[in-house]
Amino acid sequence: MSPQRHYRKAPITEAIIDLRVELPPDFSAAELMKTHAAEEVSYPTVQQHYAAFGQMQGGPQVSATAGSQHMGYVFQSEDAKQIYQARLDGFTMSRLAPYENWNALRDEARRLWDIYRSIAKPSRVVRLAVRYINRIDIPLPFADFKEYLRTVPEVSPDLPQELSGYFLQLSIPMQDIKSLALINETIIESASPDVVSVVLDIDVFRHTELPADEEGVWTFFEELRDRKNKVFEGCITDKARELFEPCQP
Amino acid sequence: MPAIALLQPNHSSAPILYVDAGRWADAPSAQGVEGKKVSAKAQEVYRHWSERAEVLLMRREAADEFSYEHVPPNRVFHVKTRYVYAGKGLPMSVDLDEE
Repeated sequence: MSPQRHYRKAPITEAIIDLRVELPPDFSAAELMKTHAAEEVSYPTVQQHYAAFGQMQGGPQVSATAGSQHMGYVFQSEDAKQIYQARLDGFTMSRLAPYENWNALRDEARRLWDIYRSIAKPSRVVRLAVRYINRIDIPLPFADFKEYLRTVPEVSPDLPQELSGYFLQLSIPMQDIKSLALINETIIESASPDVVSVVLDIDVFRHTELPADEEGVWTFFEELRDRKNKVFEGCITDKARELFEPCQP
Repeated sequence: MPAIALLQPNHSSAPILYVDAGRWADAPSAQGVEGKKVSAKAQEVYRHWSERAEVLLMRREAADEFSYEHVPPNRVFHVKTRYVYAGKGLPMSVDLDEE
């Protein structure tokens, strides 16, 4: 794996810190609005978050049921670049492009998580995740995805090598930190005809043997972030790094 | 050249995962355009998988529902029995006029 690097044009389109929790059974989603009491200026836009469910049963007669549950709220900053979700099943902090840096994201996530925690009083944390979604715009023409990516679908040389699309999902155990890296890689519509846009989505998470105390949780987030960086660097080539304009160490 | 291998089945901390919409649903929900496109594509793949292949490749949970455990048979074994000789067997009488 490669050392940690910094880029002037990092391809990050979204960075996410996520904590899943169990709340006391009598806690209602409406109470999560209290997490916004002191955040109305920083996060002026509020949306309600609902989970929809449906079931259909077939047989001599067909019956269907559907419903929805109020899960919580989504709060957005004025420029819609910074978003936090306060839900019955957890707390999520998102930073959309332009990405600043990890410290800014982590500090804001921790500040808002402390508010969430003081109001919702979760009985326990059940899952911790760091997810970074990157869009790599590969300039055309190029001969092989492997010029830029080191994790790509392998197509038999007996088949035509041109791809009009692909979706690759890998679950890679990170046994030393008892975590799993879920990597999604796919081609999406590009904004410019001069490039092919590949999304490299890296979600590193752990849901067993989680740290019991707050300091342990945030120390472990540093490990998840470090591992996410290593996965990212492991998936790209030097030619891709040139696109992101690496900063000199 | 590195080889791709399946995780050892007895490894406890990270079980082998199969394509599963539930697993994907656990991922932190993205708010940006790219993240939503990835989610849509993953759903599309899962739908395709469900419609075409789920009969052939049972989900792990369904396989776990079976509790049958194979017990190898003893090839040679002894059984105690008791029997009574009741005499010579005779055929039952049939009245042909009834037909």
